[in-house]
Amino acid sequence: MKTEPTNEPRFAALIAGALLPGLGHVVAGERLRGLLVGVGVLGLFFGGMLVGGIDTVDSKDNRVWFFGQALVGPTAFGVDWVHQNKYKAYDKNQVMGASTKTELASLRKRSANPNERFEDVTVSTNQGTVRVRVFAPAPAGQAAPPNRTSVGKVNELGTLFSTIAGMLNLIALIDAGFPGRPKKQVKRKVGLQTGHADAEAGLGTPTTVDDPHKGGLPGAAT
Amino acid sequence: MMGLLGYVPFIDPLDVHQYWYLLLIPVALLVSIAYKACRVESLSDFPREVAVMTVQIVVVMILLGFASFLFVEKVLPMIAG
Repeated sequence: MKTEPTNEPRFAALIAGALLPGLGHVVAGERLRGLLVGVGVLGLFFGGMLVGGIDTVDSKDNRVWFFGQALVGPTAFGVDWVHQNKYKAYDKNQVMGASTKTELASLRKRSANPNERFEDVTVSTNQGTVRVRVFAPAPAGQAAPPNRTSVGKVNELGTLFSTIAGMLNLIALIDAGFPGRPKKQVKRKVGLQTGHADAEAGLGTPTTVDDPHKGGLPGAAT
Repeated sequence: MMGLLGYVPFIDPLDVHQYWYLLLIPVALLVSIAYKACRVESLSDFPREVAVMTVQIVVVMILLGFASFLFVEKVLPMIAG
């Protein structure tokens, strides 16, 4: 099913597209287009994680990049939540030096070093004791960091992949929510057929032929 | 191949530090898929448009890389020297 071009914003498509890449087009009746958008955007996002690991999505240490990644939607926030809560912890030395809960709350979690492992410690503050998870040096042969920290080009590229995914999802959202904008039409025969964009620019008459509402092959006789 | 033991996909980074530039091809392909899915009017044009855009991105990036190389290795030393 295809929808007629309209200048009215499609709010359901906008919301759906913000929830899951490609879902906006699916809700608007363009299933295949939505599937392709989903493959492209989520492929880039998870491709970035495949290349650079979970460290590539980090709202605390990579905040500016996360602004772009957040455009992928709840998927990015979910991955970031898992990263912050399952793969990062406080530095043991910093935690032991904290004397108030406020001071403790202001500390930053970090990724593990290769020779560390998780440890649960109890910190005494002037407002009572708090149990927190920290990274502490492990005895020889017992190091068990939750993940290998990604560094260098691999981290840069992974971060770039997932940020581009967010940017592209923004384009997809606009496309799904505001369908009135003309799409690119392929010129089949130079000099004979032009697209609407050319016509609008005063470059020719819009005689192009792809009628998306007929579902036929472009250029086919109707 | 250090670190392949215990490697967890999507959690640990891939050990592709020596071949990172080859990642240009999948990123160009996926960008083209997502962009052209929104941009083409008829999806029957989609595969061709994606292929063309992927090649365009890869070729232009190679040319830009070569131009940067020439600028840093040839032009800047000429200016400085």
